[in-house]
Amino acid sequence: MTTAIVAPLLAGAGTAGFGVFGPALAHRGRPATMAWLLTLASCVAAAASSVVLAMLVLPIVGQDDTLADEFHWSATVLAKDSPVGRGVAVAAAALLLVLLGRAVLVVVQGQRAARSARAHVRRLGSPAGGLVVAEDTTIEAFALAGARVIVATTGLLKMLPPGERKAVLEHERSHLVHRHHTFVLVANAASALNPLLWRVPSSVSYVAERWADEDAAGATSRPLAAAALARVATARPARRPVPAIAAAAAVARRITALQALPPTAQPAAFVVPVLFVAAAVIATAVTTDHMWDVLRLATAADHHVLVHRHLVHG
Amino acid sequence: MSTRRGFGELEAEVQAALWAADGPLTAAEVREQLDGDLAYTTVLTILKRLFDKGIAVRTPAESGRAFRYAPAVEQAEHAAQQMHAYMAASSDSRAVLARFLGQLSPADRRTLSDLLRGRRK
Repeated sequence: MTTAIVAPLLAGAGTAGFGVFGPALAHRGRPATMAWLLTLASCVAAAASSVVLAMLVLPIVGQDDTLADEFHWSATVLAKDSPVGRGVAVAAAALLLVLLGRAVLVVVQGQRAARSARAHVRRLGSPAGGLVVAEDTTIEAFALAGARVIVATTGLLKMLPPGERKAVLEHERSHLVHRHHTFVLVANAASALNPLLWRVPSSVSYVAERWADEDAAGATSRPLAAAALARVATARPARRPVPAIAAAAAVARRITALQALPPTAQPAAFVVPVLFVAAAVIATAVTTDHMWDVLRLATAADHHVLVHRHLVHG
Repeated sequence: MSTRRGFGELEAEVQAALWAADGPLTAAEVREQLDGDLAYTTVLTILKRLFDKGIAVRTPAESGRAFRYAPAVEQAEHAAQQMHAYMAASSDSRAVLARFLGQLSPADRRTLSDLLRGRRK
């Protein structure tokens, strides 16, 4: 009984710990490593919490006669031995459905965005894989993932000296080459499945930007990459709506990071998030194991009844 | 972390250099406008490719057999229109749009300028 309550709670606590400490430590490690770590760990954490929810639902769903017949376990015994009450199971079922729906929505929106980006590139009339220049006074540069195209305005290109121009192009190219949008999409889907991971996607976006900054610095130099960021940030006219992706703090942090020495691997940034996720996985395994025992008992009971019937009615 | 640099990247860089310039450039001038040491013949080859693709236009230079290259303006004006339409229309574009820098609010900009100024002192 206590295992049935404690293990799922521990699994939740593990993912919550990762959801807090993963993003908090993200800026400490090497950007590429941290992007992989945060993204993969958020997948594992989301899978773990989903399995736990499914396990909480199982004893109630399992009491369905059709299912009980199909899998040869006793619905009555399952109802009697079920470690979770009906209320908890129903709540878990509702939660699981909502969260799955959210995750599906994230993935569908991601695909729709990729489709519209490809359509956009077709309208631009440019062969994929290159740079599209837009004759425009705004200062803008972006990579269109899925279409593998970089768009830059003349406003931006004319403003930058050669080295910084190259830094911007290399930054955007890094986003395309390493498929950073996929990291962000996966982290978003994971956080849709497990809301305790809500800080992870913006953290993944940030380390992806840092990753691209480091690539730009590698192709040019750290001062040039930092200068390009600072010049674009201060030259662009400010506007009201802020999609809080790159607020001043983040840009300032990116510039500061480029002005410092190249990032090195830091064990704490890696070990702490991994430990939390590992704890969540172990707690999930315990939950699953416990539920498995309950089902086995119910199956044995069902078998008993069958044998009994067989003996009596011959 | 290192990524192999192919012809596509060099093409983009040369294209960007043409756009950044105030007027048409010869291959030698383009070469000066690039960060790094590209061979003159490489620059020439890339310019020729940009011309073949319709991304650049060329006129004979005053002296010799060389050409001066300039970016094709119509294509870029078309691209600008499309870009604005795209960014205004698709709210879900954020999933695939990796901007060099997000939009900063006036307050953000002040904070940033202060930070940068503080750093230089």
